[in-house]
Amino acid sequence: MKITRTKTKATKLQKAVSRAMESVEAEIEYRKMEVVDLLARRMKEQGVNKGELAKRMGVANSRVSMLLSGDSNLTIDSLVRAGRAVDADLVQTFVPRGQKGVWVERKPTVRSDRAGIVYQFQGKISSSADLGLAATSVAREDAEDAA
Amino acid sequence: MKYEFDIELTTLHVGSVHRVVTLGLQGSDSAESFLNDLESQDKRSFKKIMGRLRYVSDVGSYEHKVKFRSLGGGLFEAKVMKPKAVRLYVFYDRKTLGDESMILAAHGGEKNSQKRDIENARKRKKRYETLIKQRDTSLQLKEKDGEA
Repeated sequence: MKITRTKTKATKLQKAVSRAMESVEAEIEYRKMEVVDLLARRMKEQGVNKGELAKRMGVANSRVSMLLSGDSNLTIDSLVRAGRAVDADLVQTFVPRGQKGVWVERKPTVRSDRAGIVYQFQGKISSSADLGLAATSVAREDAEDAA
Repeated sequence: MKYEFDIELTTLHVGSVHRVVTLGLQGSDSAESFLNDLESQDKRSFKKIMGRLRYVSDVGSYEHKVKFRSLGGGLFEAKVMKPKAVRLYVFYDRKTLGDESMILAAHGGEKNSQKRDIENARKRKKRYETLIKQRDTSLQLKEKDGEA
């Protein structure tokens, strides 16, 4: 089979798709799918089925079905409870749009009872202003690691 | 009628794992037509479907009873319920482009034509899979403008 790759001027649909992919509606759909998918994967890992999840969360099976459908309004409340039910903590942050990076485990900078479970998003830092104070603290930790 | 290419794939999105394309066969691309219509008639559903494709294109494998239901035979249905019930039928091809994996949108439609739409999607998938095995098949991959 002969495969020809061509770059043509974007069609009306391609332009509409690019715009839609960046829309808030698409982002909401994406994040809902993501959190439900992560929970489902965690349930599988832990061998926890829907009924068991409901039992551990102390809610009715129908609530769990709604949660896993990904169409309900996913509350922090139910996500934290669901996390606990599969022996996991919910991690959240806001990342400046377009920022690419990775999750890193944050070392406690002060004495903390919750050491080792705090994560932060570490991006490719092009200017220290991008991440504000976080950038400085990451940089400082890196310097300590090197020392 | 002879077409320049037997298969024309139009890139909609390049995710971190899969490239999402619409499947054009001998001059007809019903998923593209469906999405074009949806975009002009129901922008909200269009955006939701795009968000869904974006997620699916970012993970190796995905299945969800509601959002991305397996219909068997490698066909999946991406369904949006609100404001209107619309469905896009897609399948994976992890081989043809070598290292690059694809999600191909084969067909789309509303609830009232679901049965016919699924049949159509299956036919188009089968036709594609037959064509890519033939040596004299020509395939055009339309990349996105500005794609690296």
